[in-house]
Amino acid sequence: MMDVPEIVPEKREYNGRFRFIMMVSASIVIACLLVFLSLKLYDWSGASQLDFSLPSYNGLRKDIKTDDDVNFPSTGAIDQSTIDQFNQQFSAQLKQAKESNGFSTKALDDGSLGINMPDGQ
Amino acid sequence: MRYQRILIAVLAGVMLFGAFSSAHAIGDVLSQSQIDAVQTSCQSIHSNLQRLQQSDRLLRGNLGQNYDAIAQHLMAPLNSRIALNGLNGVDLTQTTVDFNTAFTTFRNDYMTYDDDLQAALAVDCNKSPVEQYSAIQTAKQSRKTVADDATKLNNLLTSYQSEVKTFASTQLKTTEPQ
Repeated sequence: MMDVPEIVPEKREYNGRFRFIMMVSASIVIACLLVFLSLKLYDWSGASQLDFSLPSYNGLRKDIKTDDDVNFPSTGAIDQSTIDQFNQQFSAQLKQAKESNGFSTKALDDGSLGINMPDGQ
Repeated sequence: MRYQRILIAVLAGVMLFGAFSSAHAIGDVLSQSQIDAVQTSCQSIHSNLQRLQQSDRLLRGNLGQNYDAIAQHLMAPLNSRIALNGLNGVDLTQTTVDFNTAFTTFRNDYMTYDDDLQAALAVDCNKSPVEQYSAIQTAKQSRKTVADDATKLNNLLTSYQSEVKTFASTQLKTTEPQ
């Protein structure tokens, strides 16, 4: 016959309480790690740079464009009218893209930043 | 193991030298009067950089959405429609692949530019005007890269448009009589 160790009721209660505290602590640690990871992903992916829901973008939010009207069916026959329909939408989008490319380096010139460099230097 | 340590030490030295030399190089080029000019314009530089960062983010958002709409809602459906109709659209597909690759580069380069701009904003120009000027020059270079990426994307779109015209004039003429 095997000897079964007898567990004292106080010890059992202590073990249960210890396990509960460990579970709560582990849950908090895991939650903190997941929050940290998601914030890092938010930063690394570049989403933080384009998050216009931030309060500092209140004034600019109205200028955000949407592409709801851009749609071309991926099925169906192809004839000249289909191509014309495609070209019409494509030209409009391309025109917009060309107009939006405002990344000129002039914006970071001394004068644009308000630096009054001494003449001739 | 010993060689690895030496290699790591050499690499760390090179990186440190690179970091210090860029600020030093600007410091050598800037005269004292120019450093004074940067220091006196400190507040204006900071507010202009902040405004530029906000407007650029909006610009990037709109431009990205524009490119995304073209790639997802126009180029991809046309390519698949051409394939479903059994026509030859290899050139169009190749340009789409090139466009998507260039778009990824544009996204990454913009992230680098935004980080550089943020780094310039983080420098206190009252305490370190040379470092701030150097950071602005770095951001300027990154901005040029982003502008070049956008130009490349626009050129690819123009190529795609002319390829669609070529496709219509060659492929559709040959299939219409059927």
